[in-house]
Amino acid sequence: MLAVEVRELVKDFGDFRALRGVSFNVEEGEVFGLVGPNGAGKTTTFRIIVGLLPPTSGDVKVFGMRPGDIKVKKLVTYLPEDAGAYRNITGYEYLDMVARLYSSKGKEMEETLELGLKIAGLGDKINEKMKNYSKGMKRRIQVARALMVKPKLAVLDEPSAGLDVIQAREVRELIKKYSNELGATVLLSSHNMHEVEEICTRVALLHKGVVLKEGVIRELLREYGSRNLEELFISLVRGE
Amino acid sequence: MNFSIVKTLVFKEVKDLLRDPRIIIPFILSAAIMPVIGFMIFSAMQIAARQVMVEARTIAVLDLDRSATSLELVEWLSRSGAYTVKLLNVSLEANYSLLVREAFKLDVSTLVIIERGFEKELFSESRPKVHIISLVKEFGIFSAASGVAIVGTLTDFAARKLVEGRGLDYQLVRNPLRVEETTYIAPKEIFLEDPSLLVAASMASLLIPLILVSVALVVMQMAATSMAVENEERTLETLLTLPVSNYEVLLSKLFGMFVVSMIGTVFEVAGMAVYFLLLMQLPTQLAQTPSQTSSAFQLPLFVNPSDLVYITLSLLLALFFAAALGLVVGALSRDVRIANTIIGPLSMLFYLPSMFIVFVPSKALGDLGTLLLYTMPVTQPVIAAKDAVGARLPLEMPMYLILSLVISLLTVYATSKLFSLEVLSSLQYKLSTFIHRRGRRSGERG
Repeated sequence: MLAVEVRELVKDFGDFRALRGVSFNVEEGEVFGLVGPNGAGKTTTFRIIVGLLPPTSGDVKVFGMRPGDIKVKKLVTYLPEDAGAYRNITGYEYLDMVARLYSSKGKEMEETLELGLKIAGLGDKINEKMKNYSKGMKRRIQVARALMVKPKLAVLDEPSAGLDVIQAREVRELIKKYSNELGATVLLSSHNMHEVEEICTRVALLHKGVVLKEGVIRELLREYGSRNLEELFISLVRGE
Repeated sequence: MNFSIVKTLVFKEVKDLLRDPRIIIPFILSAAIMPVIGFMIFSAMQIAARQVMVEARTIAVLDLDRSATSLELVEWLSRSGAYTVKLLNVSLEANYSLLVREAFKLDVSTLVIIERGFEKELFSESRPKVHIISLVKEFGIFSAASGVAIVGTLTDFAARKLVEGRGLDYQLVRNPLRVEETTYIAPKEIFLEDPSLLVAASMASLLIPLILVSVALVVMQMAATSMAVENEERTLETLLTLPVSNYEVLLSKLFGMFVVSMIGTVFEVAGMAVYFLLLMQLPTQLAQTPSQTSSAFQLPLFVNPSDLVYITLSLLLALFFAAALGLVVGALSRDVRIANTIIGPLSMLFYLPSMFIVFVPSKALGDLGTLLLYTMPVTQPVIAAKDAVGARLPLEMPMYLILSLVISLLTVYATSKLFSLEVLSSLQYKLSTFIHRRGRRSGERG
């Protein structure tokens, strides 16, 4: 079954057309990457998939349903690129709130929270107010929030943006480990080609609101004789 | 609507708000600053009044009549113990400017000129002329008061002289009647024997509505700040993707703010209470008439208990509406700064109708005006408080409460329809561009 089906997606913001007929599919269980430079339309695509924005035209289905519905919201988690943290509540209180929103039963809720605490891995710092957290710690909390509820689809927008090398690596490891363990479908975006190559199996290369190419990374590299995604992306942009 | 979800979000909201200094500090400040302001006004007026009293005691007298009676008057003033009298010796042809300059040299606050013919006119009962010049060294709240006391003293002297030898009791002439004063408050069908109670009630009917407005404004400010923080810290986007409806998100925020605003209201009202208690002590301190202060404590007798319940409900609805309005402002603001910029002019929505209600007699509002003011959540508690103290609440009050609730809920519903990332982003962009443009223009003008 397709986890995400995007067809001829167009999005206008006033006179500016951010997406110009974007189409791609994400299979259930795979880690799919949406790759492109800043302003390519990755975040807009994600916001439409999670129901935050309506498309101007085109069609999006998530597990066969329309995005934005409460039923779909229960299956999908979204990590925005610049997701902030509530300054005055602790990491523990935040994860506890999320666990309560997703689970109705006491035991299920406890297990969800336990998983969240494990993914966050902040030790005693989890009981500190989030305004005292570093950028990396806040990101870990957000990644934990997005994965702890065992979503059928996790949409992660630039999960390591703004983090230093070590923090970025930690976040990548978390995503790889828990998406594997939980069997979740992951749709992530990045302008860091190396990151995408490391985590994803399939990608769609997005440029100026258009998908240049979609496919399995290894096959795409072989087809175009490129050493890595970066080379492939540049050759595709030049061949436009 | 899922109540357990709303409860979870309300808990988060309350914790986040109560721990946020940007939210709590205005509450504490408003509670602390009112008694400080009250104390400062109280002390300043006390000092000013004392100063006036001291200065008023030193007077200069210019006796142009030089008769036995005028000399007796000067002697009487000196002996009364109430005044230090300094005699002014200038020529009879001196004009007022010269007189005043000479009086200033004596460091007095009042110059009394006993005109020529004083004695003759007094005893021929043709009202002799006495000229009193108040010498104002600087403007102050009691500048005009210095000459008032001496008028009473001079009148007292002249009246005594007139009854002398006529076999009349001066005290009897002065107070010939046993006056029993009673005030009937028609809307409340009660008699008041202490007129000062009416003064206190009139003051309360003006002040209580203003307190209510201040409380509502603090709540609106808090709601706007809280929502703007959500935008500033980029937490709203995540919140809108959680498995909750926009209406639940909004309602949770409102309830959370409502709980915190109740706590804040307690602070605010406590501060206001101390402020007014201090100010109510002032007339007692200045005039040594304790009746007004004690009367103020009898005010609850003035308000019907059922009216108090209606006013409380009305105030709660107004706070709910103020929070909803603040939420809209916060949602449209990219950051706290923009929210605060909008809240200032918006607070006029509360202040202007309230001022109108406070100073215009209820009867002059007309049926339509009354209906409108009783229906709008913003104005309802103000007009209700004024009418409950000064007159009577209308029989339609329960219906007005329901209408106010409906308006508040419609506002929340309409806001939840606006509550999408696209609409908010677009409105936030337009609003911040507008504010920046205005800021630039006024900067260029400046």
